[in-house]
Amino acid sequence: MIEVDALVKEFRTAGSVDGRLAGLRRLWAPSRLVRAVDGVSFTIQRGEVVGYLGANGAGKSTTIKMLTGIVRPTSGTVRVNGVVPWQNRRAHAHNIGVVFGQKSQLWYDLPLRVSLETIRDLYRVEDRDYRARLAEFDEVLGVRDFLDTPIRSLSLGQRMRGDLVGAMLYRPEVLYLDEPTVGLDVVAKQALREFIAAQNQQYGTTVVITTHDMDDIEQLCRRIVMIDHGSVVYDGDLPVLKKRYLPFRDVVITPADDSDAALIRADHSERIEGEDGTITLRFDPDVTTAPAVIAQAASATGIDDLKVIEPDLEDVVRLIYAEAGR
Amino acid sequence: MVELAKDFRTLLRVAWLTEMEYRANFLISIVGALAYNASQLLFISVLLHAFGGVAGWTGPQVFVLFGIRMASHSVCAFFFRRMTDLDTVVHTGEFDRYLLRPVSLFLQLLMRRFNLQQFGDVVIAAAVLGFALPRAAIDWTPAKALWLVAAVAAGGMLEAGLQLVRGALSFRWTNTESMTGLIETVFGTFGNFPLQVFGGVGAVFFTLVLPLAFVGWIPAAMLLGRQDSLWFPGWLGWWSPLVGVGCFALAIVFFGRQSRHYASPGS
Repeated sequence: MIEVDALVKEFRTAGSVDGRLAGLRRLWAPSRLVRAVDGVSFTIQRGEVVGYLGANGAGKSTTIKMLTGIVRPTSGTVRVNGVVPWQNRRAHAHNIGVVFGQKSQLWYDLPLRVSLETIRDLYRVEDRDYRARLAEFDEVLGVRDFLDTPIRSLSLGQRMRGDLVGAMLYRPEVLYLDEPTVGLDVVAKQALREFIAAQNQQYGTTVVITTHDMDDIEQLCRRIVMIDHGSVVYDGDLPVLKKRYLPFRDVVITPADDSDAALIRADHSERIEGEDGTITLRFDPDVTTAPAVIAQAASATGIDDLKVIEPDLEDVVRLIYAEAGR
Repeated sequence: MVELAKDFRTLLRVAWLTEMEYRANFLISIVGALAYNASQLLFISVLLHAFGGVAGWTGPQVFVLFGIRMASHSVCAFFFRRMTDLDTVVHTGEFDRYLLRPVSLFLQLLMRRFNLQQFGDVVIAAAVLGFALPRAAIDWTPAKALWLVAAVAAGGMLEAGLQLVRGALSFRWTNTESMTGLIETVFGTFGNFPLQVFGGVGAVFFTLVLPLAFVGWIPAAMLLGRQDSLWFPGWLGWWSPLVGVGCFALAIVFFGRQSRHYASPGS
């Protein structure tokens, strides 16, 4: 559905000048060429939900802007449903829905209803379909309550829901979401995720999402493409990514009293004493299993509390970003 | 073409509704436009009163020129005001939205807002022409009247075209606001006079380099039978509306080409 090959985008920025009369000398300082995206390639199949990750400034938004046809690449190709975005802009526009968390695509001064009706007319959606879809979207997103409120008066959560309805009204094949949940409360985030998942399952909508909220990724995406300094550093399954960077699992045990603590141990696991008196047994799930570790540890001694810690995607991402930043 | 008309109707509705959200703004703009144009009118009246004419043209003849230029300007202001918004649209990233919709980029810019507040310009232009035309001893034919309408429309397109080209430069340079005022000021300052007053070099300059001759001077000279004031063969003047139309068409093409350099701001 989306084919990206050797995509490059370079920007010219004013060169920096220090020292005396820097402000004046900047006028004729040579401009600097910055490579925001440096040879990105990937292919996304119809119906996939892909998380496009990267630290701030990694080149995520620039890539999304090229995929959506807002910005032309310096070199490389993009095909979305067989269409090159910047060569056949209008055909492409019917294929994609776009939601930017930072920027509404709707008419700022007018009620949400007017924006939706305008989109209906510009995309030539039959009124019958329009009504049916609005009713369907309303069930998950609950937009009816603020249909007559101007966009500028909506809360962020309402505005995002409105934008999402606007982007899906003409049933595009591909939905791009650029930080859709930033600044939203837990309930609004959940509604958004449910909606996206439902569209994907019912209509096979292909979804590309960039976000800094790892819960978005865990709940929606099966696949991750990670970018850093303009290049793809990981492309594959979410579980594999976790395993590569955090291969261990931890069983954290709170012993009944200090004398029991010394007895807590299990085969094939590393024993780490916590400062708060807890004992962590770290093991490789390929070698042994959580029940085996727990059974052995519990047989020996009195245990007050016990929990199994799964590797957290946030930790994984932190590790990768930190590594790349060095 | 049918599709374009449908989009036009859709966007017109949005623009109209947006305008209605700002009714107070609408009234203030009309008053502002009236005041601005009245001050120009006053200046010319004083000038004519003191000197009795400009460069061989009588007072009523100069008023016809002024009226034609005002009418051209109100065509530009009423229909094509949004051309001057292009640098803002580029600067703020609003252009992102235009690129994402299956609608002509030019049409989306054009219909960004409804231009009702420019009504003040239309009122002034109509008043000035209503006053000056009967006093200028023009020998009217239906063809001449039609030609005047075409010349006024083309004059508006010329100004709009220049503004659009200016705005389209912002795809690469981002900030071209300083030039918006420049075009309006040059047209407003020099456009109101028979250009022979600036000497032969001035007249050629304002015809070929900064083509404001096509917005007032040439149409007025043709209409008033003052081809003697022009620096080129008089019959050429009848073709002058083509310049405005051509300029506008080229400007739209230029806009389309420059939009390829759009570097959307922010993330």
